[in-house]
Amino acid sequence: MSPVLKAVINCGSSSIRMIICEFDSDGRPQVIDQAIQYLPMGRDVFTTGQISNKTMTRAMEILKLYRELLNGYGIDLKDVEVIGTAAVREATNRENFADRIEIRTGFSIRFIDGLEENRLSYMAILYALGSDVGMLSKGNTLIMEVSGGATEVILLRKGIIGSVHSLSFGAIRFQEMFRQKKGFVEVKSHELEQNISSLRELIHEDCKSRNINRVFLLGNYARIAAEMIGKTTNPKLIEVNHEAWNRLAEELYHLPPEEIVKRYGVAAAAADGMGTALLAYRYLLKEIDCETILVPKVGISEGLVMESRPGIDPDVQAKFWNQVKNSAIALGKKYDFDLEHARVVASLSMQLFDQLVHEHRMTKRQRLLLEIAAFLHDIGTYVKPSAHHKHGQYLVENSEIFGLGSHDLKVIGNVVRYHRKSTPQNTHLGFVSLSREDRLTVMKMAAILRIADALDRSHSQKVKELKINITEDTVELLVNCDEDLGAEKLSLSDKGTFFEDVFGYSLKLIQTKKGASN
Amino acid sequence: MFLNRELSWIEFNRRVLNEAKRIELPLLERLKFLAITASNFDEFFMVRVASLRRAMRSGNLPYGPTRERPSEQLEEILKRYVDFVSEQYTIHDEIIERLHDHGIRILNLNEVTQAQKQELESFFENELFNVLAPVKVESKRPFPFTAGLRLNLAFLLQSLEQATESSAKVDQAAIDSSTVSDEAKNEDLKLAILEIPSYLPRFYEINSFGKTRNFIRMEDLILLFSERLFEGYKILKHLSFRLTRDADIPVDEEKEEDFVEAMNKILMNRRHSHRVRLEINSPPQADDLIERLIQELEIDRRVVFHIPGPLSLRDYFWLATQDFSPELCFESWEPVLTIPDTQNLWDLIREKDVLIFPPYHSFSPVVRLLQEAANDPNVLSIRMTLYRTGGDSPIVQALVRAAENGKQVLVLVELKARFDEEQNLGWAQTLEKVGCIVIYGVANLKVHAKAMLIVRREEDGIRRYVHLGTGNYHVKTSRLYTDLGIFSSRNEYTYEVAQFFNSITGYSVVQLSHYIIMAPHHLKKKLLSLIEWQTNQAKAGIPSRIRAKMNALADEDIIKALYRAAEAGVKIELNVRGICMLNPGYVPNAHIHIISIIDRFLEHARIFFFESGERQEVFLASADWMYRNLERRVELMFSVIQEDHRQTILHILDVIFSDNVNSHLLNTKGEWERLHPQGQKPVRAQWVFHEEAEMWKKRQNEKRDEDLGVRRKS
Repeated sequence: MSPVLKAVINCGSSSIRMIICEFDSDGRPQVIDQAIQYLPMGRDVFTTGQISNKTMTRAMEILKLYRELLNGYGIDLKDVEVIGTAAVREATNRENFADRIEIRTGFSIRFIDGLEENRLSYMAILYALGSDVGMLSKGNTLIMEVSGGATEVILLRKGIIGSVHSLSFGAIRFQEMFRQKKGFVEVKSHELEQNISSLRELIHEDCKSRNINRVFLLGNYARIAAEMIGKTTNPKLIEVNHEAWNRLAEELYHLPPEEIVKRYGVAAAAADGMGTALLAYRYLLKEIDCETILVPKVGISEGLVMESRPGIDPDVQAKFWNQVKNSAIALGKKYDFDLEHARVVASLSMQLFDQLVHEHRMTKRQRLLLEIAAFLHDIGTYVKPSAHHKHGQYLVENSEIFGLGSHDLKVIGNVVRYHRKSTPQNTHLGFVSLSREDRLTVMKMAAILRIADALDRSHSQKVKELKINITEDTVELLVNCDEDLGAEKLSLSDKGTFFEDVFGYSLKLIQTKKGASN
Repeated sequence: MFLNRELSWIEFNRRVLNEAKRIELPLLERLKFLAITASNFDEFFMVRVASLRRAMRSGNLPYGPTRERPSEQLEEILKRYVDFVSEQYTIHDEIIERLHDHGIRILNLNEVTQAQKQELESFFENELFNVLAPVKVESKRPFPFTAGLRLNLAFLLQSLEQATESSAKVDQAAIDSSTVSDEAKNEDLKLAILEIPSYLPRFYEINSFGKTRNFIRMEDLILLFSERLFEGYKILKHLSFRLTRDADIPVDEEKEEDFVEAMNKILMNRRHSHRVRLEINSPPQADDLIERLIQELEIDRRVVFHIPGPLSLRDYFWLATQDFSPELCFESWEPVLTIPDTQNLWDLIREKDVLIFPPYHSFSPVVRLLQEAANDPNVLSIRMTLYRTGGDSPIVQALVRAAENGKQVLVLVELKARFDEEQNLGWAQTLEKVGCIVIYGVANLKVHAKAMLIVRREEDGIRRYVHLGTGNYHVKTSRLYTDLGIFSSRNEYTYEVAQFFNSITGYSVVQLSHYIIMAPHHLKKKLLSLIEWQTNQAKAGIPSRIRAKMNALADEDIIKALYRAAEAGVKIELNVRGICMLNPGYVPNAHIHIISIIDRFLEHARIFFFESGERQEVFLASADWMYRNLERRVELMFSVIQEDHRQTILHILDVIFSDNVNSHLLNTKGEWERLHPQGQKPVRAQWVFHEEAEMWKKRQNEKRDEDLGVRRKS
C-alpha cells in the first residue's frame, strides 16, 4: 500500500503554517514535517480592512516555497488543504486574495470561520492527547485560543461540550483598535483588562460554580510562550506553571517587540502582539484556579488532519458528532423547546434519511445537519408561535453550535425555515443566496423534515419507528402503531406535497397494527 | 585570562613544523608538513594579518577577548614569523640535502651541467618562450598588476646601447672620479616584472641517466635563459618575489540582489585587494632592485620579508606526492570498507544507525547512498549541504543524475567557503542547469553544517534517511581528515533534519529542536547551558567531566564558562588541534588538561562529551567553539543516540587522550610542549584507530571464511 500523505496550510493572522502528515496503519496522523513563516496579515486587515499588495505578494512567495517542499514528498495538490482563518477570512479582498493564490500557486483556499475553528481546536486537543484522551471525561476542561484577530473558547463538562464562543477580541486587532482610536499611545495593562472584562464575565458565567480542572491554551502565541518556560511531558503537549505564565505575560507586555525578539529569539512577526495575547490569557484566567496550563504543540491544522484522515475511527467520529448534537440540544433547551417532540422528529428524520439514501444521495455530514435541524426546528416558538419557522431560522443562524460553521448554520437555518408553510421561492433572499448545491440540499432535507414533523403532529410521540417501501412511483411509509393517527395523516397530506415535488414520488402512510407487522 | 588568538595559531603551525623536524619520519612526509606550514602562513596573512591591518587602518582600537591593539598584535606576529621562516629554511635545506642522498636532487643554478643546459634550452625555446610575458615598468604608467601568491621574477635592465655608452662613460668616469653617480645610473635602468604562469610546474624534471632524478625550479630554469626575453638589454640584477593580498572583501549581501553576481565581483576584486606581505628571495647585492620594487609596490616595509631560500614552500607539496621510493613515505593505510558494497544500504540504515570514521573507514558508503538514491525510483527527493567539494566529485555527479531522473534535488551551496569560491560557483551552476534547486547560502551566515536528507517512499510509508557528519562531503579530503558521520532513519533525527533544511532553505523560520541543535540560533546557548549544568553538578559534589575534541577553542563566553566550571571542580579535558585561547594556568589547581594531536591525518572531528554522575551526553558537531562558528555560521551539533555508538565515541576519546607520541600538551604557562611516552607504553592515536579498523576487517574476513559452507566427505 502506498503511504497516505496529507498537508494542511493555514493562513492565519500572523503566520502561514504548513504541516505534512502521514497516516500510520491505525489511521493516526503523524506530523512528519512542518514549516512556518510569519506574515502580518492581521495587521493589514485590522487597519485597512484588506490584505495589502505587499503582504499578498509575500504570501504568494511563501506558498510557492511550500509547493516546492510538498514536491519533495511527492504530494499532489488534491491532498493539500489550504485554509484561511481569522484575519484572512475577514479581509474585504479575500476573494481576490484566493483568486490570485489559485492562479499563481495552484492552491485553492477555503475560508473557515470561528465556529469551525472551534471544532478544529477540539480535534487538535484530541490529537495532542492521543491515548490520554480519557482525561477529558473527568471534570471540566477549558479550551481557549487568543490569536491575532479572535478568541475562541470551549468549555467541556466531563468531556461533553458545554458551551462554545467565538469572540472578536484578538491581540493585533486590539492593538490596532487602540492605535486608531488614540494614536500611538501605549496601552496600559489595566485598559486591556477593562477591555476584555466582558469576555471574562462570559467565560466565568459558563464556568460559574464549576471547578475548572484543566486549561488548554492553543495558538501560536501560547505555543511560543510555552516553549520558553514550559516543560514537555508528552511529545505533543507542554506543561506550564500558571504563576510562571503570569510572570512572563507581565514581562513581555512591557517589552517592545524588538526586545522580545532579541531576548527570546522569537520571530519578529510573532513578537508583535505576543505581550497583548499573553496578558489577555492572564486576565481571562484570573479567577480560574488551575496550577498548570497545558499547551498543545499542535493547532487547528492538526485538527483538520485528524478530521480528514482516511478510515477515521468511527468511534471518535461518533463521539464528535454527539458533541455537536449535545451542543444543539443545549441551544434548544435555552429556547425552551419540546425535547420529546424534537427527539422523535430527529429520530424519524434519520430513519427516513437512512432508508432513502439511494434517492437523495446525501453525505453523512449532511445527515448530521439534518439531525440538528430536526432538533431545532421548533425553537422559533420561543419568540412567537406564529411564523416560528422564520424566528427559528434567525435564532439558528445567530447562535453558536459547537462543531458547526456559519455556513452549516445557514443551511440548518434554511431547513428550519422550510419545515412548514411556504416552500422556497425566488424572492426568499436567505434561500437564493445559497449555492445551487446547498439549495438542493436544503430542499431535500426540508422535504424529509416535513414528513418527520407531520408524523408527530400531535406532539405525543405515537409514531417512533417507520419502515419504507419504495414502489415505482410511491414511497410507502409503514408505521407500526395502534393509535389514532388522524392528525398525522392530515398533516402529512399537507406537508408531504413538498416531498412529492422534490423526490417525484407520491406518499402513502400505511398503518399496521402492532403484532401484525410481519 | 586568554591566550592571544593569533599567537596561539602560530603555535599550532609550529607544532606542524615540529613534525617536519622529526628525523624519524619519512623524508617526503616531513617535506609535506613543511609545505603545509607555508601554505598555512599564506592563508594566515591573507586572512588574519589582513584583518589586523584593516583594524589598524580603522582606528587601531583594542579588540578581541585579549583587548590588545592590532598594531601590538601585528608586531608580535611579525617577530615570530621571522623566526619561523628561518626555522623553515633550516629544515628545508636539511631535507633537500637528505633527498639528494635518496636520489632526488634539486639543482641550483650553478649546478646545471652543460648537457643539462642544452636540454633545458630546447624546453625553454619550445615551451616557455611564448608563454612568458615580461612587462617593463614605465615611469608615469601604473605598476603592472601582480596577483597574490604568484611567483614573480624582477629584473633590473640596462639597454645595450646605454651599456656600451655607460661603460664608455664608466671608463671615462673611472678616469675622472672613479665613481658613477647613482642618479644617472638609475634613470637609465629599467625594471621588468615577469609573472611565472601558475599553470607551469614549479619543478621541472631533467632527463637523467643515472639513478638520481634531477629537478630544477621553474624560476631558475627561466633565469638560465632570461636574457633572451629582453632583447637589446642586459640584465644587471634579478630577484624573485611573491605578493600576498587581503582575501576578505566584504560583500554587501543585503544590497547585492544577485548573490552569484556579487560573488563574481569579489573574485575580481580579490585580485586587486590590499597587499599584506611581500616575500623576496634575492642574490646578494640586489639592494637597489629591492628598493625599487618596494617603492613601486608601495608596500609597508614592516611586511617585506627577505627569505633565505626558494619562495613558496607550499609548492613542495607537489614534489612530496610524486612517486618516489615508498620508504620516503608513510606506509599506506587503505580505508576499510565497513559497509560491503553488496549490503543493501536502505535495509541496513532502517534497522539501526551506522557510524563511520573516515579516513580509517571508507567514505564511499556516503557516495554510494547518493548514487543509489539517484537511481532508486522510490526516492522522491534529496537535500544536502555542500561546503567544499571537488568539481568532478562523484557527489555532484550523483546529484546531477538524481535531478535528471526527476527527483527533487535541493542543494545548499556555500559559495563563501574561502578560497574555493571560484570552483564552487562552477559546479553550482552545473547543478542548476540540470534542474536542481540550488540555494546560494544564507545571507550573512556561512553554512558550515554537513547534512543530507533523502526522502523515500516505502511499503509502509514515507521514510527519510539522513547522514550527519563532522566533515565536508568531499571525497578527497575524506581520505585525509578524520571525521565522524552517522547514517540514520530514526525519527528523532529525520524530523529535525527536515526542520533544519526547512529553515536554511527559506521554507520556514527556525523551530525548536532537541536532537539537532543549530547555530547560530541555539547551539551556543545549549553549550553554555550544558557547561553551566555541569558546573552546578560539581558544586553539588557530583563528579562531573567535560571532554571535547575540536579544531579550535576561541569563544570568549564558552571559555569563561569553562573557567567557572573548572573552578567548581569539573574535570576539563580538551583536544584542540589549532587555536586555543583558553589558558590552563588561569584557574589555579583546577583540572584542565589540553592536548593537541598533529599526525598524518588532519584531526577534524568535533566530539563533545558531558558527564555528570550517571548522566552522559555525547554530541558530534560541525562547529568549533569559536565565535565565528557559533554566531556567524550555520552549524549543527547532534546528539548521538544509539548506545553502541556512544560507547565507540567514548572509546575514541579515551584513545585520543592517551596519545603520547603525536601529542602536545598546553601547560599552565600557556606554552605547548611535546609529550613523550616517558617509560610508558607509547600510544599513537591515529595508529590505534587504523589498527582497530584493520582488526575489524580481519575479523569480518575470518567470519566470512567460517561462513563458507565447506563440503567434506564425512
